[in-house]
Amino acid sequence: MARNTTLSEDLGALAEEQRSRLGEPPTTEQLIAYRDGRLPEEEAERIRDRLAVDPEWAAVYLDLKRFPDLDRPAAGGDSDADVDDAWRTLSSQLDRTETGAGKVIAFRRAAIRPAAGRALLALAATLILGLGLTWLLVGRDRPQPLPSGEYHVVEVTGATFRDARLAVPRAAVGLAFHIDATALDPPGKVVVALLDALDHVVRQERMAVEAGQRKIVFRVASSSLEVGRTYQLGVWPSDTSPEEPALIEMVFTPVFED
Amino acid sequence: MFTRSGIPISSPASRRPSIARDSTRPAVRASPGGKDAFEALFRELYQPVLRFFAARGCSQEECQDLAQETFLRAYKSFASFRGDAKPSTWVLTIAVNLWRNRSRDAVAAKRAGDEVPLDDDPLDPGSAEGPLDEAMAGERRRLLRGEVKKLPPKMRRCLLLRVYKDWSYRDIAEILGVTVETAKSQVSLARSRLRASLAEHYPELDDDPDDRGG
Repeated sequence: MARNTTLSEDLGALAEEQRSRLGEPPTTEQLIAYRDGRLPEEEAERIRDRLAVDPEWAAVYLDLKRFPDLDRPAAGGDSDADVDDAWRTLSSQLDRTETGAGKVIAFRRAAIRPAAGRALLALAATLILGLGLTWLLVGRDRPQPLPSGEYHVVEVTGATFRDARLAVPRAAVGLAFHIDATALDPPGKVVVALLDALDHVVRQERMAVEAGQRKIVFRVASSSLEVGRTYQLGVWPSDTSPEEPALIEMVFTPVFED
Repeated sequence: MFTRSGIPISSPASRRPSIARDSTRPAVRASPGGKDAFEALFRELYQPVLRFFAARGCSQEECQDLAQETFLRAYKSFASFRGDAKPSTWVLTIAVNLWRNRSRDAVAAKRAGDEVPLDDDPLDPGSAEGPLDEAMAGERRRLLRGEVKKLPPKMRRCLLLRVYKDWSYRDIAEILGVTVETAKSQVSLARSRLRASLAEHYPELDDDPDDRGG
C-alpha cells in the first residue's frame, strides 16, 4: 500500500494548482512596486496570493527586499582580487562597447525624485518643486578654476518643475535645498538628512517649522559630496514612525550625448 | 550611522548592515563616459549580484557569466538611468530579468527535449499507487482544499508559506508585509482550524512543529 502523503506535500499540491491558475509570475517592476508599497491594495493582494504559493518568486522577492545585503556566500568573487579580475574583464568589454558610441560630453546631472508611496509623499513632492536647488558659489566674481567643458548639471525633476536645469561650476562650495514647508500640517519639528546610497549620513539637521512658515533651507557643503555617488534626501516629521521614512533620492549619473 | 536622539532615523534600509565606505578606495571622479562612476557601482554590487544568482542554483561559472552580463547591460543603460530607483534596485532588476529570461529559455529547452522521467517507467508496477490509494489521497486532498479555502486570505497565505516550504516567520512577515507576531499567530490559528476537521487525515496537525520556534 502506498504511504499517506503529508500535510506539507498536499499543501504543496494545492499551491501548485493555485500557481497554475494565477498564470505568469509578477514582473520585477510589480514586485518592486509591491515592496515599496506603491500598488493598489487589490493588486498587492494578488501579489501576496502569488508569493504564498510560489517559493521561487517569494525568494526573489526577499532578495529584492534585502539586496545588496544577501547573507549567503557568493559563488566565486568573494575576494577583492576576484572582483578586480571581474572588473578588468568587464572593463575591456565596455571599452569595446564604447567604440563608436559617439562623443561623450563630460558632465553630470543630479535628479531628485520623491520615493513614491512613502508616508510623506505629499511633502516630498512639494519639497522638490521648491525649485529648490541653489548652489552657493565660491565668490561669484572669482575666476572659475574649471576644466574646459566639465560642468555639473543639476536637473531638478518634480511634480510641476520638470527638466529645469542649472549649470553649476565645479567651484560651488555647497548646495542648499529650499524645502517647501507648507505641506507640513500641523507644523512641527522635522529632521532633514542627506544620506549616501549605503544609508550613511552625510549631514542631518533637526529643524522647526513654525505656523505659516513657507520654507526651510537645508545646506550641504560640496566637500561632503562625491561626484558619481548616489544620495538621498529625506525629510521626516520628528514623530514619524521609523518604519515609514520618506526619502527622496538624489542621484548623480553621467549623461551621454552624441 | 545616523546618530540622533528621538529622531526617527533607523529606517529598514538603514538598519541593515551597511557596506562600510572604504576610505582607501579612490573617490569617484568625473570622467568622460562615466566609467569611473560605474566602476564604483560595480565594486559595490558585484558580489551581491553573484549571491543572487548563486541562490537560484547557478554554478560558479554561470554566476560569473550572468553577473558579467548584468553589469554589461547596466552599463549600456547607465546613461538613461534617471534615479527613479536606488542604483542597487536598478541593477538587481536587470539581474532578475536576466534570470527570468534564462529560466524561461531553460523550461522551453527542457520541453523541447521530450524527456521521460524515470519514475514514470510503465514497466515498473511497484512505482504506482493502486486505484484505491489514489482515491483516498484524492479525497483527503479535496477535504484539505475545502478547509484551506475557508481560511481568511492572510491566514491561508501564512499557512502555505510556513507548512509548504517551511519559511521562517521572519521571511513570511517580510513576504506578506505583516509582523512576525502576526505571521506566528495566523499559522497557529490556521493549524487549529484544520486540526478540528482534518486531524484524522493529517496526524502531524497534532504535533505542532511551530513550538520549536522559527
